[in-house]
Amino acid sequence: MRPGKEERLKRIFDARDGRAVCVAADHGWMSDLTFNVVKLRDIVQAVRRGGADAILMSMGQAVRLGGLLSGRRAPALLVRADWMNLTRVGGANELMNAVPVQKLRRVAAGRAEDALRLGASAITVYYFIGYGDEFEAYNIELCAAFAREAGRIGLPCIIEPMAVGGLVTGLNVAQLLTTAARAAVEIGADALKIQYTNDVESFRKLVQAAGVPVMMLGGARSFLERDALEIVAEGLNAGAAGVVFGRNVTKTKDPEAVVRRICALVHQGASVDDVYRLDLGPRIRLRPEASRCTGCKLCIIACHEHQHGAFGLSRAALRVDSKPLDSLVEGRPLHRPMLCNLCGKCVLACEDEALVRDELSGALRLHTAKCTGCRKCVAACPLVVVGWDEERRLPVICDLCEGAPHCAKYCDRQAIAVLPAKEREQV
Amino acid sequence: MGEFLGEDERSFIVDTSFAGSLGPTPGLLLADEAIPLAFEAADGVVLNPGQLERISKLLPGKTGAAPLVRVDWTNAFRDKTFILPAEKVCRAQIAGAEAALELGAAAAVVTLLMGFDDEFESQNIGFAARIFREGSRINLPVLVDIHLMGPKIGADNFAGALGLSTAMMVEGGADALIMPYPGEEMFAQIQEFSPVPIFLRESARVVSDPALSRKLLASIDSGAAGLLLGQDAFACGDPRGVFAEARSLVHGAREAELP
Repeated sequence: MRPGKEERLKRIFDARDGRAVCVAADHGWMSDLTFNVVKLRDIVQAVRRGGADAILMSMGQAVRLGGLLSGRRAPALLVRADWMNLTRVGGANELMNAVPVQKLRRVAAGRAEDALRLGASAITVYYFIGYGDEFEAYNIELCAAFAREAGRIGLPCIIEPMAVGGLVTGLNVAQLLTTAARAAVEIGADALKIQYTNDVESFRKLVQAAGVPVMMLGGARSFLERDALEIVAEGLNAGAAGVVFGRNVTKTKDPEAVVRRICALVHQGASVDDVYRLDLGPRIRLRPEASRCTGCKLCIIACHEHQHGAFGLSRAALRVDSKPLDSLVEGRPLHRPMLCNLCGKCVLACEDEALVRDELSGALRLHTAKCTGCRKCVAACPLVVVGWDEERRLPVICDLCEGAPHCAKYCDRQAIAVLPAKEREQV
Repeated sequence: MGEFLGEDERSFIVDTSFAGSLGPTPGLLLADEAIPLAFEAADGVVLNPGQLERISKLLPGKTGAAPLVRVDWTNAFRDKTFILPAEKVCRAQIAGAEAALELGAAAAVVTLLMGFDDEFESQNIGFAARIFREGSRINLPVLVDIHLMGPKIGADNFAGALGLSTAMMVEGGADALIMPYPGEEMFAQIQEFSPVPIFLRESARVVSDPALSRKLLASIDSGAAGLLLGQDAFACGDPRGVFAEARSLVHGAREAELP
């Protein structure tokens, strides 16, 4: 595979687990003006906060909203390079089918080069099977042309096989999807976006036949979010490399929370029960307000108490940096709370994988059974806030107190602010 | 051409590209395991462009077969046993000669479907001609895989249709041909006319059935440049063994052993 493709695929699929959580936000390009289309800007921002790995947009929206995805930790941009009218095929439906059409049609809407210029990490195109021989051949030709063009410029091509039309039945859909998945790979797909075949075994076979990362679709909006997540769990069990959720995210009241739940399933290996059992309140971060700090160290005592059940100063995951009185400069604070900023250097330093990032809360978590007491995390911390518990031979890390940091709670000068996390911090 | 022709000017080729239309056929579900087997034994392996790019890191390089890229797709092999039988035979271009060259192919492979309606036939020939020209510009050999299968083909005109296809493709600019064996008489005629190597497309039984093996050897003796095996070679349960046997047949090692 060409280096450009490999690099861009890594922007989509997390290098740590090879999986991706993508959100499809390209519905306005092909269907009616529903609220998820109207409120796209807000939805994209929420999806980013939720920690999605990639967001799929139309070319036009990528021009307008692509800026929302700037920054190294932002979701990768996927660009829809074709257009189809499937959502409008059939009878009129006042909710989402204002202008019905009779025949399924699909056209190229741009070039891979256009997507690359927009900063895309991949293009996504459809491949329809089951609607007739000529239409399928046309689809193959179009997909192959996209794959070749994208390949030349090092841009991954994600093909989305869709089994639709009069030739598709409940009995043959799994086999058709498997055939289409392999055919898509044969002509040049670097990853697939495909509907679930409704059972683990057939989907496992599809994944094996493909040989490239397979992301399963969320499909139509599920009545219950939990149903959609159960399907995700099944798909992951069958070998899926992630999900591409559209309406099941964009049409919900809280897209950020839904994305975080999906991320927990996909990246953290949480079960559906876990996802709902754990508090999925907004992710937070701490910010020192040095001008308010008096250097009282109550925050350290509170942290020590939270960590060890006893008051003390020696084993806390924060410290207060106090300058000598003779170095006082007017307008500059004398004391500054030094707090974990989730930079992740301790996680990178931990060779035993004892220190991990909790996808749900965003905080660090220490697996004490894995920790060998090497103290590399302590040494790696640039802020010198990873403490050391000599008695237990374990590091003391900031776990954000399960979303209610004691340091901030007990600081009556509000020198430690608790803010919503801006985005998923990647370690 | 030298990349997939042995020193004896013969070649054993394996075709894996049918998966582009038929999906994962038996024995080819796990492409990463199955396709390298073909590369170990064959002189050339036909792949679709996407699969070649995906699998290229697993390939043995100059110690193994040369990759040949199929530049078109067709549903013509989706018969009534297939999950979605073809009602109308179609084809589509999935790559060009330049794309094949970029992928490191030693040759491009074009399908010629003969025996369907006139318009379809002319599209086939037009497409092949474009690939010939493109291949000629960049010095990439183009093989034509001739399939006689349309409603116009019957037992009475099979050999004649093959002769016609050969003539058209040679005139058009093909560098090699892949075809079924048309019988001794027509093959001799084709040999006399054709200046390009001809590879015979056979079933995997050619290595296990002594009568078929002898026939293949005779055709190689009479000028065929080698053998192409397809999907049934993977489905037989022991593709490695089949490929090894086929290689021996093509390159002469088994001749003395045959009963």
